[in-house]
Formats: sequence, structure tokens, C-alpha cells
Amino acid sequence: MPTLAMRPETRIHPLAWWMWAVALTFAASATTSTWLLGIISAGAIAVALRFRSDGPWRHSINYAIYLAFTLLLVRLTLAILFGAKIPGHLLITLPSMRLPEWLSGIALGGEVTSEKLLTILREGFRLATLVIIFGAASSLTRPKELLKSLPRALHEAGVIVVVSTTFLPQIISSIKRIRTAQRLRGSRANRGLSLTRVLIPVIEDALTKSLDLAAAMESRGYGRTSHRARHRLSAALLIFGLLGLLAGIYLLLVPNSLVNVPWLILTLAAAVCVLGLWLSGKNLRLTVYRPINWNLEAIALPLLGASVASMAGIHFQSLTSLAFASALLCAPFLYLGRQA
Amino acid sequence: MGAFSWPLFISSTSPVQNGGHWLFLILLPLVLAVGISAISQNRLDVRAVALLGVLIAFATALRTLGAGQAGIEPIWLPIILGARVFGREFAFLLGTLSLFASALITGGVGPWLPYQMLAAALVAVGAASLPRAQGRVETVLLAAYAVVASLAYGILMDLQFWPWLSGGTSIAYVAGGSLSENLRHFFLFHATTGLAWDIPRAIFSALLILVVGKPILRALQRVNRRASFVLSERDSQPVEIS
Amino acid sequence: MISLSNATLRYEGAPVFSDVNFEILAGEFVLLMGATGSGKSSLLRVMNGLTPHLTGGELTGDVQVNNRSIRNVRPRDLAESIGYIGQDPLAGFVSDRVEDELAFTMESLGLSAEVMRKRVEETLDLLGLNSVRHRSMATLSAGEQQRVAIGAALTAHPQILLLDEPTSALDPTAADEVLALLQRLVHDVGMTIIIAEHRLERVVQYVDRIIHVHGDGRVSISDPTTALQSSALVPPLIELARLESWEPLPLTIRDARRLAEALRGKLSSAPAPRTNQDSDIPREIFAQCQKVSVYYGKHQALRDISLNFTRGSIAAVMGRNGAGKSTLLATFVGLNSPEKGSLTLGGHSPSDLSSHSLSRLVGFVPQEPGDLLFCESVSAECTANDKDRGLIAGTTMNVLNAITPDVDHSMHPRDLSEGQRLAVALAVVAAAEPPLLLLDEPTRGLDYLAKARLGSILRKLAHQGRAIVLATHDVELVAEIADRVIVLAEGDLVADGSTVDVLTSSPAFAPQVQKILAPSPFMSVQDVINANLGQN
Repeated sequence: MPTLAMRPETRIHPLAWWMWAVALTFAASATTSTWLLGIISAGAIAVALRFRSDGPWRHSINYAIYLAFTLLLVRLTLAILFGAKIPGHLLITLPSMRLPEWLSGIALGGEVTSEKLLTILREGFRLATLVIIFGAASSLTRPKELLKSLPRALHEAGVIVVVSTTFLPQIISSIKRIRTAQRLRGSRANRGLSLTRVLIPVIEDALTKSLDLAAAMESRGYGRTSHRARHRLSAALLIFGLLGLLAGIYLLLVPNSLVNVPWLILTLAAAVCVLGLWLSGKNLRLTVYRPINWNLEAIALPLLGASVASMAGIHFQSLTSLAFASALLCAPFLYLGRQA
Repeated sequence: MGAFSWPLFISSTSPVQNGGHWLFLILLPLVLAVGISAISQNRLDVRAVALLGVLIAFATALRTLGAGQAGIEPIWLPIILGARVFGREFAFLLGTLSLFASALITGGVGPWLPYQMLAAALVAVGAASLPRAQGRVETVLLAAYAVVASLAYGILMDLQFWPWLSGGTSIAYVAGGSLSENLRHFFLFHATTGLAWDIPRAIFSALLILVVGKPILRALQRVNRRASFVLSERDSQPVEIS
Repeated sequence: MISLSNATLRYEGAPVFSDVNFEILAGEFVLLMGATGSGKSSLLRVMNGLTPHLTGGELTGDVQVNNRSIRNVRPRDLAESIGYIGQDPLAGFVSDRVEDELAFTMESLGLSAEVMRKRVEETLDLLGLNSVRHRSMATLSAGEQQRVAIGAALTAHPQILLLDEPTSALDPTAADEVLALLQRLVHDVGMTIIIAEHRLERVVQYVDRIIHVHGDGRVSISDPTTALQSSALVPPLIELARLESWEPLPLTIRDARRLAEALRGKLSSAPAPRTNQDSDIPREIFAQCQKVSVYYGKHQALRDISLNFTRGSIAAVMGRNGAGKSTLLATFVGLNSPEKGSLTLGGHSPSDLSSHSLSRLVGFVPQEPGDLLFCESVSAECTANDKDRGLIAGTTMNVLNAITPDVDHSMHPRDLSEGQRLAVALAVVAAAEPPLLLLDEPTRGLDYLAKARLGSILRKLAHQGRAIVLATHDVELVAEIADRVIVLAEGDLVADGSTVDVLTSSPAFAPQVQKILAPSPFMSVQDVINANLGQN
């Protein structure tokens, strides 16, 4: 599969892809047209397959597609069992059963009409599309690049995730290696015990390596910080922010006379949280090597996504709008394709 | 620092409007970010970073290798055991980031991910909060916890998943409806979808812990001791005599 | 640059080294030597503060780097002065791309983007890594990985580098490259380098001074000649020099050859060694393969290999990394089925046998002996093995005691030294008395004494009638104990003959003694001793 060129000038900022994905998510949630959903899904899959990164997440889209199908199936089954009756062309009639009163007397089974199936599919499709969009976004980015764009406050966590993606192939190969070694030890033990024999050396090996990693990171200067005072301030901000969020949500859910205030509280609290995060991020004296810049292509992506979203929002149902949406989704192929 | 996690979940049962789940979806990552950054900034030694990275890689490996279907989720093994050995803050990060990292690799990213992360974090913190025990008792305790936690996790996940999956069917939740009615609807929803996952998950995780738990615990504890490993303030002084 | 004053390190009460005083000056290339488990690594790590800050322990006295005491600063604060590269380069990598890895150090240090860019380019050039800069770490060879690890530490521009056994995972060619690189860093760039190493023969000629960690708490520092004159751990070159009382003690092959004139003359009339190697006595062939080809996917790992292994002999399989040595061993153990050709073990084909019966016919000690061990203590390991194989209780323990009597049975296998772990793994595998024993790179991390012990154990096992096959790079060990050498290259069988024939005919595989005494076919110090005895 062709991948985007490694040359940094052509690299797309990972956040651009994710923002594109988020915009498409908005589009998917706002629209009621199954066709549009289908186009969005197809577009996302196509872009992901064409431009997938060569990082460890590149298979996400494959898994996402399977997952989407599974979800649709589950939805369908649920609906067939429990669904509301929608009159129309009868397909099959399942044996029906009324549940006892203490379970709300819901009817199981019953008639299954094609309209019903279609309605269900439409609903489920939205969720499937979401899954596919996110799977696509994962396939398109590399963890290390994402780490570079992460807010400083989450840098440590980002490093942890990057380390785990680096170690994953090592652990998998050590599992294979140890399995063969243990097999050759030739025991007559049952399966449970042989699981122990494989997992324990693997974990021991991994733990030893983690200490080596810690030594290497420490020797290379990882973990320098400054400004203890800022810690306190940012911590305080964060606590306040969280409490504010809690209050806001509570008020939102259990409405009383102060109707407008919950939203205000929520927004304020969210802002405080963000401020606290930003401040704690300043503590880290970090720089970014060859940061991926927002070039024209990168900026274009979220804009494209946003246009699709707005179209979905305006509820255009005509064929032209669908065609337009497809065009927007295909645009990346045109201007990115040249460089790949 | 621990006060933030719990309340957010309870509120999902009596929503105000139909767009409720979207709101939480936006807010939850923010809350998670706060939690993660608070712990990772202040309380993490470089050894903890390395250890977390490796344990999460191990968890991810298990998730990719273990089927993941019908609740066979070996990922809980390192999460529960690691949480037990290394303490609450470590546990929070272990739970959250394991699910994050493994979801990205296996393509399980979706609107449920922040919830999964938070729920896993709760499971982990719970494991870390269990009372002290030794030997056989500890293993049994952890296995029992695994059962409880699996079921609870299932309930929590279904709780948040419910609005997404069941709209338009008769077991959907009804905004402003009575609590008992909603609960009934939820119970049906849970029974048909989640339970099929939860019971195998509970059994499998408990079995796994019973079989493999003790030696793994010991291995983790050895590392803990060997690295003189204490989660403490960043610049603590080492053991030295002059 | 680095000075230790009255430094004592203790782990849980027991001192690792005590009252150490020395100073390392700028621009020195220093070797740290000592038996496995003697505390070399700890001493190395004390120099940049990793011990005690990261790995615990009590430090008394002081260690100063550029006049900054490590008691007051953490290793991360010293990153611009002193860098550390551990034994396993792959375990020290944060990301999976070469360029990102080099940059990670600088990102953590907060350097500006222009500086980072410049340094990355410089480091890539210095280490010759430009061609692999975009590659993923897992696709690099071990030598390249080691160089990336060095580069990652170098980007902080430290003046001092500490390396813990940098060549242990490398084949001889890659090891030479890395050492040449270190030489260049010392001579051209002016760095101070301290390297802990077991394979002294590679390094001795380059170093200015040697720090000898004696293992009983004493640490001495001196020039190479003095240190090697009285050390128990010496490469064959020095052993020969001491045997023949050559003055001054030669450190390179060239110097040794000059001094060996007389010896060569004396030995030219001596009978060639190992002529009475029982090569005429027909030995029972236990395992053989005929025209075996093995494929990994599309890649052909072994091409038309025909070999046989006889009881009572020790065969060595040599070749570059990736030549197929491990594949050959794996095929004999039944892990790969050959696409073509046939393979038999004691008359059976491995694929027909259950793993239990297979383990009775062939025993395999993998590169990482720890892969085989999963119990909490050595004694538990032995009991488990007895139960597994259906042996009488205590068999494995007896075998272990016969191999190494000095292993503490209550210790966790991971806490043992490399040599001890290897011994336990060997005991586990050999307890069922399989007629064929395969060992993959057993000498990694072993010092000379441990290697000698391994050699004698293997010889004993061979005398008991087993066929032993070693896949190894270690020419010295091969020269000592092997009867037969097989050389593989790119899946082909390139050479198969007696040790003398193969090792003397190729400069790449010649042991040190051979290089000194060429063209006489003497390969080990023992050969020379025998010849001397024979002549008297």
C-alpha cells in the first residue's frame, strides 16, 4: 500500500487529520440521509486506505470496518427482538412473546417488516460511520507525530503511549520466542500451566527491559522540569474546574429554576480546566524536533470536513448535494496524491 | 485528587434531553485529560513511565492476541494485577492508557472510548484500593474482585452505550421518564447485549487470575522492590549516607 | 573528569565495592573489567548516578563528574556531561524511528529546533547512519541498533560516554565497527569513554587504562600491561604471552607475532595438534539432514544442507548473523519443517514426534536461557523439570550440581548471573539425557572463566556420548572444544570440516593463538602447552 512520503515538507499535521475526522463526525451526526452517511463512510475508508501511515496504527481501519459491521448486526438483532412495530411489507414473522408486566410488558419478536429493517439500519449506520471515521483517523496518523502535537500537559502520558507502541512488537516476538522455548521443554503439563510458563518469562523479560528503558531515558535527560510554584497554581485551577464541571452537569440534568446558568457554569468550568492544563504544561521545558507545520494541505483538510458537516447540517437532500459531498471527500486524493 | 471520577457516571440515568450523550462525549475527554495530566505531571518517576509503557504494551499484546470476542478479554489481567502492586495513581493511568493504546491499535476507537478509559481506570483504582492480603488469599481476593469488576464494568459500559444503540426501540430510555421505568428498560438492554459479554468476561478474568495471578504478582512485586520503587514526589532524595 | 573518593556501594548491606579512589582524566579510553556479577555494571552506573538514584543502594563517599557530585544531582541533570548506553540497545529505545530517537534526547533537554536539527545531522554523519535514518528500529541489524543507541546519547553532546558491554550482542564484524567508532570518538572528537566489557580481546589494544573490579570489593586501576599481568581473566593472547613469559606484555596480535618468532620456530617441528582426534574411530551418527531447504515465506533460509551429527563430538556452527544458524538449529528441533529434503533424529523425523518425546531426543538451550525458566527459585525449577519429564526427583538438581556446584538454590533465576542462568537452563535441558544438545549463542555475557567452565561441561557431556552442536560467533571457544566446524553463509553450507582445517584456512575465523602462530596449526593455548609437553 502506498504511504505518504516521509519527507517532512509533505507530512500532514496529525491534528489536521483528526480535525477532519471530528468535522466528519459532526456531519454524520447531523444528517438524516443514509446516502450521505454512506458517502462519508466510503470516503473515510478510501482516504484511509490510500494515505495510511506506516506507523503501528495503520491497521486500525481494517479493524474498524469489522467492528462497524458487528455493531450493525447487534443493532439489527436488538431491533428485531424489541423493536417498535412499523407497518409495511412483511418479511417474516417471528414468534412473539409478551414479557411479564414487571418488565414493562414489552413485546418480543413479532412481525419483521422491511421498513423496520431499513429504519434500524439507518440508525445503526450512523454509529458504524463514526467507528469508521475514527478508525480512519487512527490509520492516518503515527503515534510519535501525535505526541508532538499533544498539549504539554499530556506529554508524559503521550510518552507512555509511544513507549508502549514501540514495545509492542518486542513483546509479541518475545511471546513467540518463549512459547517455542517452553514447548521444547517438553512438558506433559496441561494448557493452564503452559500459559503460566509462557506469560511469566514474558513479563519478567518485559519488566527487566522497562528498567533498562528507565535508565536510558533518565541518562538522556528525560524529566527535567521547573517552577514548582506553578504546580500548585495549576493543580488548584484544575480542581476548581472539575468541581465546576460537576456542578454544571448536575444542574443540567436536574433542571430547576436557574435554567440558563448550567451552560454558563459548564463553559466557565471547562475554560478553567483548560487554563489549568495549559499552565501545568508550561512546567515542562520541552521542545519539539522538526515540528510538523500546518501547511496548506493540512489546513485544507479540516475545512473540507467542515464543509461536509455544514452541508449535512443544512439538510440538503438532493442528488447534487450528495455529489458535492462526494467531491469534497475525494479532494484529498487530488492534491495529496501527487506527492505520495 | 480522587474526587473527580465517580459522579460523572451516575448522572447518565436521568437525562434531560436527547442530545445528552453528545455533551458527555465532549466533556469526558476533558475530564480524563485533567486526571491524566494531574497524575502524570506530578507523581511519575521515570521508572514509572517506563514501567507503564511496558505494562501497557503487554496489555495491548494480550488484547490483540486474545480474541476479545464474547468477553474473553485478557487485558484485565495486567490491569488488575499491576494496579494492585503499584498503587492508586499508577492504577488510574494504567487503566486509562491501556485502553487508549490498545483501542488505537485494534481500531476500537469510537464514542465509547473515553468511557472505557474511565471505567477501566475505576476498575484499576478499585483493585489498588483492596485491603492488604498475602499469598493464596490475595489471589482469591483479586479473582473475586475481577468478577465483581467485570460485571460492574459491563454495567457501566452498557449504561453509556444504551442511548447510542437502542434509540427507536422499545427499550430505549425515555427522557424525563420515571426512574423505575428507565431501569427496567436498561435491564432488558443490558440482559440482551451486555450480559453475554460480562459473564464470560467475569469468569475468564477470574480464572486467569487464579491460574496465572500469583507468579505474575510476585514478578511485579520483585520489580517494585528491586527498583526501590516508590511513587513519590519528583525530586525525592535517594537512600544515601554521607 | 570523573573522580571517586572513598566510594563504597552497598546493596542490602553487602558491599559491592569499598573505598574506591581513582580519577579518570579527560580524553581517556578506559576499560572496566571483572568477572560476571563482580559489580562492573554497578561501578559503571555509579559514575553517572544511575546507581543509587535509579536502582537503589547505599553510596558512601563521593563521586564527582566535572566537579559536580552525583549525590546532589540526578542523572538527567548530568546528561550534557555524561551519557550512558546499556547492554540491550533495543530496550532503551523510546520510539521506533531512528531520527525520532536521536531527537528525543534533545527534546527532553529543551534545545531549540535549529540546534536539534543540526545535531541530528552531525550525529547521523558521525555514526554513519544516514542511510537508515528513516527506518524503523526493528529492521536494523544489531550493530546499527547499537550505533543508534550511542547516537541517542551523543546528541546531548556529553564529554563522557559510559557503555555497558556494547559488543555482547554483536557478531565480530559489527563489534569491530562499534569499537572503531569508539576509537574515533576518543581520538578525533576527544571524548572520554569508559567501557565495561567481557570480550577483552577486542578492546585491550585500544585502551589507555584498565579498571579491574575484583569482586571482593577491591577495585584497582592501572595501565593495561600491569592489569593483565596478574589478572585471572585474560584473553588467549595474554595467556600465551604469560605462558611464554614474553616481555613486554604484548597487547596486539602484531606485537605478539614479533615476540613469537622463537616459539614459532620451536613449534614448527612439533607434531600438529589434534591429529589423534579419534577421527578414525567411526562414530554413531545420531542426527542428520539430507538436502534440506527451509523457507520463511518467500525467503530461503537454508539451501540444500546436508549434515550429520555424531555422538560424542562437539560441532560448531558459525556464520554471520542471519546466515541461517538459528534456522538450522530450529529445524533440528522440529520448529521448521523443511520444504525439501529429510531430517532424522535418532531415526525419527521430528515432525512425527510429540513434543514430549522430542524433548527426550534433543535438548535446546535458546539464546536467552531465561526463556526456559519460569519458577521462583532454582530448586523449584529443578523439581518442576523432574515432574515434567517424568524423572526421578532430584535428577535435575544432580545434573545442575555436576555442572556448577556454586549456585544458590533459593535464588530467583533472574537474579542469577548470566553464566549461572545458562547452567540452570542447561541442567533443565540435559536432565532428560537427550542424545543431541543444541545451544544457541551460549557465550553471550560470559567472562573467560565462565566460558572455560562451560567448555569443560560440554566436553564432559560429549564424553558421555552425546552429540553437541553450538551456534556461536566465539572463535576462541570453538577453538578450545569443538571437533568440527560448519560455516553457513546466506543459507548455504560453505564449509564443513575439522576445527583445525576450517579455522586455520580462514583469516576471519582464526582464533588469536592461530593468528600469532600462523602458519603452524595451533589454535589454543592448550595446544601449545600440549606441544611443549610433547617435546619435553
